[in-house]
Amino acid sequence: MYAGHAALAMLAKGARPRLPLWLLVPVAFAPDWIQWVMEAFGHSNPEYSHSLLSVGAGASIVALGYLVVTRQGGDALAVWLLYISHWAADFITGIKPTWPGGPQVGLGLYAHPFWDCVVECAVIVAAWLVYRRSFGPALRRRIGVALVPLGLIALQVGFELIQTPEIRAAVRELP
Amino acid sequence: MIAPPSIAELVQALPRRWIAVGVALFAPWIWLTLLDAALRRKR
Repeated sequence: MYAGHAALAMLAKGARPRLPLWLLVPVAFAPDWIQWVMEAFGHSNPEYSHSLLSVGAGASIVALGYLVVTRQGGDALAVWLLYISHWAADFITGIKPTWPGGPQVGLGLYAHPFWDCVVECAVIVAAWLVYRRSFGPALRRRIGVALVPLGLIALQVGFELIQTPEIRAAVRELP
Repeated sequence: MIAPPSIAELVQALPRRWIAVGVALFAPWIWLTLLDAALRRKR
């Protein structure tokens, strides 16, 4: 999942308005960030970033750190759930590892880019409906609030376009 | 004394695919954080 992860961060913000988005978005994408950093060092391994075991461990470390710093148990639980949601969301769209030596599981929606886009856009809209409740009634109707999901949908459409065989082949050619 | 590499040289040394993934990761973060902050400041 791509923009759907950002949508889940938006959902968490709507449910727990005290949580800052600058923290929620990286938490929602945490396994991807870990994989990206590991790639920089030439040691990318999905079992370390995206397995059920590593996601559970990462979620617990981050949530515990948040709890220690803020003493807000409910918010720390929301952080934990958001981190864990990465695996569940990726289960729908991709094929992900479970534990060392365990099976690779997932529904593999990425194989159907159109339907992946439909599902992720639906997640974005649903999450936005919760997120916009964190604003007052007058501000909710501002065009800026409507721009939030539109930007994410644009990113998702761009992501799907990159998956087309022609563009994907060109990206693979990149050094 | 050897001069340290410039930022442009460091960026050129990175694989372009890695940079593309980095942009994809930063884009929703920047979009949501900045827009949310701007909207709440108007409150």
